[in-house]
Amino acid sequence: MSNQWFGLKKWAVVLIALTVIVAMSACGNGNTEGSGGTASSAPETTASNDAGNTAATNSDGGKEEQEKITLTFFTNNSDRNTGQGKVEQILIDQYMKEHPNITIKVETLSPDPQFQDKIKVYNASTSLPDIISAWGNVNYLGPLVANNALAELNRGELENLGFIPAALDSFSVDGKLYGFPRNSDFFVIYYNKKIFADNGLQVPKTEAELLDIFQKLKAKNIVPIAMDGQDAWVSGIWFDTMVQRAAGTWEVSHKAMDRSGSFKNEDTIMAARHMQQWIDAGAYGLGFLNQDYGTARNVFGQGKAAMYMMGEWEMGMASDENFPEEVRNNIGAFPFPSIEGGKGTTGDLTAWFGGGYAVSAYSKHKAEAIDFLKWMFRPDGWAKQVWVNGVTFPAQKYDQFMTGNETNVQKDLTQIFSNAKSYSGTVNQDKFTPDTQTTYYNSIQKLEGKQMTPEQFVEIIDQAAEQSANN
Amino acid sequence: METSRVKPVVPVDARYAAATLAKRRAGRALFVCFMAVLVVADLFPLIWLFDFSLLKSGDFFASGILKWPDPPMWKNYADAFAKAHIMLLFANSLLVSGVSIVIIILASVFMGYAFTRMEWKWRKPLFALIMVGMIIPIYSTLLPNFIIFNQVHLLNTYWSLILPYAAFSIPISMFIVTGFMETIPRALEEAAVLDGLTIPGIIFRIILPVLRPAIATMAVISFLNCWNEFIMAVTYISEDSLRTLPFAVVYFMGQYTSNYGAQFAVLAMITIPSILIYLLFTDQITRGITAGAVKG
Repeated sequence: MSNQWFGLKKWAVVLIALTVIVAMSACGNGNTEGSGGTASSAPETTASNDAGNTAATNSDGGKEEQEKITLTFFTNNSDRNTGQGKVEQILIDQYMKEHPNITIKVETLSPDPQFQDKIKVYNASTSLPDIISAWGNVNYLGPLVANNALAELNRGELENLGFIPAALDSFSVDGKLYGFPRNSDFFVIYYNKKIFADNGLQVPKTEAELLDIFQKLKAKNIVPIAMDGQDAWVSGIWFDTMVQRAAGTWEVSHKAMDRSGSFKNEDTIMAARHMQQWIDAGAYGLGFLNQDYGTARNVFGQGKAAMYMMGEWEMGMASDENFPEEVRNNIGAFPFPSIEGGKGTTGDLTAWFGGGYAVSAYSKHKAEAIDFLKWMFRPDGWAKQVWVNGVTFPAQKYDQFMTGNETNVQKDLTQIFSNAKSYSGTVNQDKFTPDTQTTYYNSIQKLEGKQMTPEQFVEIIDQAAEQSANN
Repeated sequence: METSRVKPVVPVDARYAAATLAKRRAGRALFVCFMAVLVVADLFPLIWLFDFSLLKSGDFFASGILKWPDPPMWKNYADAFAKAHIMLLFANSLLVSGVSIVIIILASVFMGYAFTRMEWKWRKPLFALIMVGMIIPIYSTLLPNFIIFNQVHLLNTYWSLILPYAAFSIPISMFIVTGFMETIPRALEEAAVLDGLTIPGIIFRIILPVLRPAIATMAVISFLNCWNEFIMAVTYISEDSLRTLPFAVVYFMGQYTSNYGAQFAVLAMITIPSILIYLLFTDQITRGITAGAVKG
């Protein structure tokens, strides 16, 4: 018996040793490549990078004096070959070329919910990368600021970068600035000029004209507006816009959110009722609540819908080779029409400041990270690149980059943006806490699906607003 | 009355025979139709996947379910290879899945033997504890594991994937292997003991060969789990050079737009190994799963 047990031990030891050796040799690559930092005692994830970095210095040998620094850059733009991801990468590569002592390591993750989940994991384990993609809203900034995870920025130092002041405000919490805003976002209706011309339609200024267009298009079996109904945030922005069109001011929503007012009032109910009215008139076609972002975009891009309700960032469609040329050359945009009995006008623009970047408070190279962002957002940097490449509207002044070669849709959008008499600021859905935001989104979709009356709807979202204010 | 009873006897028989034949034929035809529908239903997603992998991004969703690629965008595959470093990710996936499977099988076989053949004090509660592992949701482990891996410097290593992959697959593998071992007659081992084999000898010379179908089942199930796993890979790995294959899809997502064509090309390529493995081992899998069902 003892012999057997002895045998077992010997066998077991040999086997375990074998497994370990096999596994180790198989994974050895990863160990040296990924986390040469096992020897380092610092708890941050950046430890591994630093370790890799000192190695690089040794082998490099060239520039001795300057300290080698690695910055980690965690972005929600995974595609580095188009759009904002491409612009990011161009600027990062250029910066590294001009600053040989600085290496910027990019980590990407999409889509946004996944990105934000990982931010939560990083935050909870106090290991945020040096620079992260950020959004200027309570939902995202709130928990990070509460956890002291973000480095405060000096607003004065950003003065000559040409930021729109409201954009910086949206990245501030209690008067302290936490981020560099990257885009000005605003909500418009794109339209296919050819479909409009073929059917003798004019750009609508009022709701009555728009409803009339719905009827004419429906008769021709053309979907009037391509709509991403599945992601409720689009409908949320639409709701913000409609409340303004009813009340004639953005204050109703803002006050309802900070609880100096309420959602339970005539203007909000009117907005909700008109939303249902549009849907009843067949604005989005059947089953739009099951259409996601890509579907809505493709329906419009293939010329199967006459209009498309979306933010200015879709101006890139005009140069997207995936769509037929006939559609690409005929894309225009117009502002939201006024509604019957409402006080708002087409000159009031639902505009807010979308993405941006923030710097981790735990970063060992805070100053360098901020220096890089300042460089990135110098007027000749981000603002020029995104405008000239037709990617998006920067959150900075960009008039000086007008070339005259802009696409028609870029020109339309510029006109809408610069002619606007008022801007909404942060969209309301972003002021809800993560929990109440879910309630808000669900209710809005129930309203759209006619499972809720306008009165029930305002009742429930008012409760949600109350809850998020108490949080 | 009587005549009516007698008369039809012969014709009815003939008619009956004809009727049953017709019925059988109809039944067979129905069966064939039914199976054909099943086959189509099973194959359709694959056809759909390969069809979509050849479309332009702009062609997606708006028109019918299937769209003839005109012209076929082989560029999607080229893009997938060039921009998502498919070969590197493929090698990473292969390595991580491979090592995980070896660990899973070794652990399950040894533990399975100890739980079914050996008598010891905490046998039953411990077995129950391992089985509880089957109901633990992956999401609840992400943050604790991240923090632990961070502290022991396992983040951004293959181990940060291999360890949890193995841990999550071991319960189900144990379930299969213990079920299978129950069906192995003890007489086999008794004879082996009489012939002078030690316990490891029994495991390697007797149990392992008999367990082959169960091992194949475990290997395939673990392979599919590890091969397709995404959320842990995303959480524990931030280094591009260590990412696994499912991540390739993400490289074609911008903030608002996605390169659907390339994404589908990536998905098609990820699927091929899974299909191959499944086709190769489908016999063993069914044997392994049903083996425990009827006790010998």
